[in-house]
Amino acid sequence: MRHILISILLLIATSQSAVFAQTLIHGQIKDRLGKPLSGANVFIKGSIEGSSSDEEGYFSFETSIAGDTVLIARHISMIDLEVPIRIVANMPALSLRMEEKTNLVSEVVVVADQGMVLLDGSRATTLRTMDVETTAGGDGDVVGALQTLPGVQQIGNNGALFVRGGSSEEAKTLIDGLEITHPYYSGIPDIAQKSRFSPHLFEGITFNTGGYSALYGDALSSVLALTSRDHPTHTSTVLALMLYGVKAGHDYVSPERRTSFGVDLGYSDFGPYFGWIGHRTQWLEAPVNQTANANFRQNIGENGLLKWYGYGNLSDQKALTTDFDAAENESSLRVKNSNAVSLLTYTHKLNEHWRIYAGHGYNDNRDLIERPAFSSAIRERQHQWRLHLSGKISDRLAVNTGSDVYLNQWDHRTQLLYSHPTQKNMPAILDNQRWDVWMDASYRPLRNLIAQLGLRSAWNAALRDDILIMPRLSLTYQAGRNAFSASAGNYAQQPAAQYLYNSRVLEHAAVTHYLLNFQRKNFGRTLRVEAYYKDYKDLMQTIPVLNAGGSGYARGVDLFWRDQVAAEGLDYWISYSYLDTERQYLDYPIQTRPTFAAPHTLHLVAKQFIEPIGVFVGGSYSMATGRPYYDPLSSSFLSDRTPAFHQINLNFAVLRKWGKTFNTFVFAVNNFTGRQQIFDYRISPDGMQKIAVELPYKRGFLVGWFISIGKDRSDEILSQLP
Amino acid sequence: MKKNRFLSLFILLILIMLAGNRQTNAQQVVSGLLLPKVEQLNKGNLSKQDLQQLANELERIALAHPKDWHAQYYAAYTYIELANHSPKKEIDNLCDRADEFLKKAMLVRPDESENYVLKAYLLSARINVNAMFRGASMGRESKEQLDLALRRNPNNPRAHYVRAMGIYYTPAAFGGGKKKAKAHLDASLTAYRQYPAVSVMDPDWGRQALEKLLATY
Repeated sequence: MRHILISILLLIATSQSAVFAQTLIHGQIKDRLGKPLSGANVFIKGSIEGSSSDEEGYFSFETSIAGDTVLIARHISMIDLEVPIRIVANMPALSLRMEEKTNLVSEVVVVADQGMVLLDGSRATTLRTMDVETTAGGDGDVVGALQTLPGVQQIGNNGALFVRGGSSEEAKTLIDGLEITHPYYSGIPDIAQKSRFSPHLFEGITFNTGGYSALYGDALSSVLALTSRDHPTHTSTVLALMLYGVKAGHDYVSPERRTSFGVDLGYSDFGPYFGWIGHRTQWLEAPVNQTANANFRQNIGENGLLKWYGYGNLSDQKALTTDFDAAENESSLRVKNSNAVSLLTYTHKLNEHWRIYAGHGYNDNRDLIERPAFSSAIRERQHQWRLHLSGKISDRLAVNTGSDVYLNQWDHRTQLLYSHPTQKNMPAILDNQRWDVWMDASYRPLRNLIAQLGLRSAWNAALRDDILIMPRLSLTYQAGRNAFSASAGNYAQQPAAQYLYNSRVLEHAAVTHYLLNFQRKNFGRTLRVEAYYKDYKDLMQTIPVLNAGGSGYARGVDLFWRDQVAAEGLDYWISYSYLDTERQYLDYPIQTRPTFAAPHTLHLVAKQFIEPIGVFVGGSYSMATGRPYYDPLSSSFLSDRTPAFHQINLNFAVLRKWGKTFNTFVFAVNNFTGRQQIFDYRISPDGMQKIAVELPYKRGFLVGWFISIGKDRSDEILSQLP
Repeated sequence: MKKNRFLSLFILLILIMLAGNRQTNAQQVVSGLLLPKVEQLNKGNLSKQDLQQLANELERIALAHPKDWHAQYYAAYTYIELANHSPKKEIDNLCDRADEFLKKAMLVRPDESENYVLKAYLLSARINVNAMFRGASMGRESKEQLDLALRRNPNNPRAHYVRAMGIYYTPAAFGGGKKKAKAHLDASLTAYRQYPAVSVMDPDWGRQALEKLLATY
């Protein structure tokens, strides 16, 4: 009876919190570098007993808990810390160290969907649509904006990418993992052409100037990987009015956001505009363009997404151009182009860690080139099938593997217009195929260290060499906000189509990249320094006969500094490239610096957004030292240099929201100072005539009014410039 | 024997009472812990240090009582307030922490209007990091969250206030502005006035800040 009562009392006593002896837990908390951390939350796991660290990192609190337990420290910019401790009377002072949260290394492991890969994220540059649109002189063109980044040459008479001593063919463009064979508009020579694709189509623009992983093939110098958008959030309509054309588009999205599609149509005629800015080219028919873009996205089940993107463009232009072979030194040139692209991809999430991707890409490009004496019709088609399996085997090991199969059909026909009737020109037709298989593993032996090993094999039916095996390796070490990486790899590319007709004479052109990279990222500020060496071999030569004996090298340093937090609304970057390169290829009799290489290139780009009044002002200054040009009378080959290039571009935009419409008025000036820009010279074989290849206008003006109806496109501030 | 049976019954009763008590006890314990913090938060005029201190205390309570909605909610709210008092480079990390607790609050009470208001409030804190890049997309997302909040409780004064505040700080060029915000601010004040008195523990913030905004006219 009595002990029942006692047990009840005991029960009641234990159900209430008893008063035990209090123990003082105290100590100091610091980061890796020994800097005290204030505001850290230090407490005993599963309890509310704890305290915050003060300005000097000191913390102290009393606890009634005793014995073995776990102490937790949490700080907003540090990785959570858990330390097992034994609480005894008179605890000595604790000394805790916390590790900074890192984002660079984790980026390296993340394998994103849609064929886009962040594997090279620590080295590649990523841009957003806004970055592209607001770069003065970039003209709203993805490639125009990339040209202000280090590693890219400033070649004013060609709009393509020339990266680190590589020619424009060495830079590849991919959309959702599928190759775009003709990413630039066709046009007459010596006028820079823009890339075909509006930055608004993409949510990710990743530009890699070397040392890229095994996921990318057939590119010697650079890979521009674009990722198309997912479902838009709202149905919307957009209208663009420019001095040379109009554009209209509509996006539809189903209420559950499982189906969406969009169409964009554009028409432009540059005639009146070129007249207005005083374009120097002697146009017979200024360029006329018709463009259509279409996309469709459909969720399939819970884990599948089907995407289709289609593009079609027709363009036609005719001008008088320099032609020292013609009687008048000038002859008419007509360039008519039609281009179609279809990209179909399907991504399926197998489970939390594994994804499979299948894609089919089709490119069809036709150029008709008419001179008074002949005409050429060139049709190039490519089918690509791509498979990609990616996943995580463990937290330390991620794997990507896949294959690419390409089928090409090339058809080049030249018709001499005044030839003898018996002289028939045989069409040059070639069907070719390429097979690539690749795999890549990222392994993280230590938390701060990541090793990436890749292998890519390539086989090409039209080439003499057997299956190529290209190993690629990179190591990235991260310490706080700093990351260091070293990488090396072999890369190969097939020669241009027109040289492949002499079946199995040529080989893959090859290059080995060696890179050292340092990067520091600190909230809104990025510093990147990269040194590289590229060793080229088996470059194609056209003299004395077609062969694969060319070689060369490129070495240099790229510097990039970007600050987006210096002042409210201000974003600026500075990029500098040093390049030393020589090569012997095509018809070069000696190894020398090629025409597309300047030793020093500098860009300053600044943008200021004045939010309260909805005004945007931007400017850029670009400098490049002279490049070699060919003078037949010169004593040594390519020993002459063009003058240095200095250019200032400005842009200005006013943003207004009226009712449901979002309006952007854009005004931009290229070559603001009106300085004469000489990119190259054309010199007659006797050396008597020397014609400078210049910027085709003194100042270029752009005026546009862009209207978005519905809300989704309102983030397209400074909407699509040309 | 009869006595013994009575005693057994008595013990059983006590045990049942104790067991029941334990449950309500846990809630009372959390309420007891939270109440002083909530009162401090509602009083306002807190320095960054005060907020950091409070955030850490509420974080400890929230982690120790993951099923308590109030604990999760106030931990999230305090981190957002702290973000609003912090330099830009700290905002995203603080908002990530707020998001961690807000997600838990949403798991406990998926249909609570206040959760969505807090999500919208969190997004407006994030916009401050880079209004130029984030304004349009996050502003839109914030509005969607407020729509969800108002669908669950059309009278929620905080939903009206966060919307009015968003309009107030959006430049006129982008469809916002002080002038345009006036009507919305007035409407949210009315919503606050008409809102029935809440229990001491329930969300009760926003009115002071609203009155401050109204005082600028």
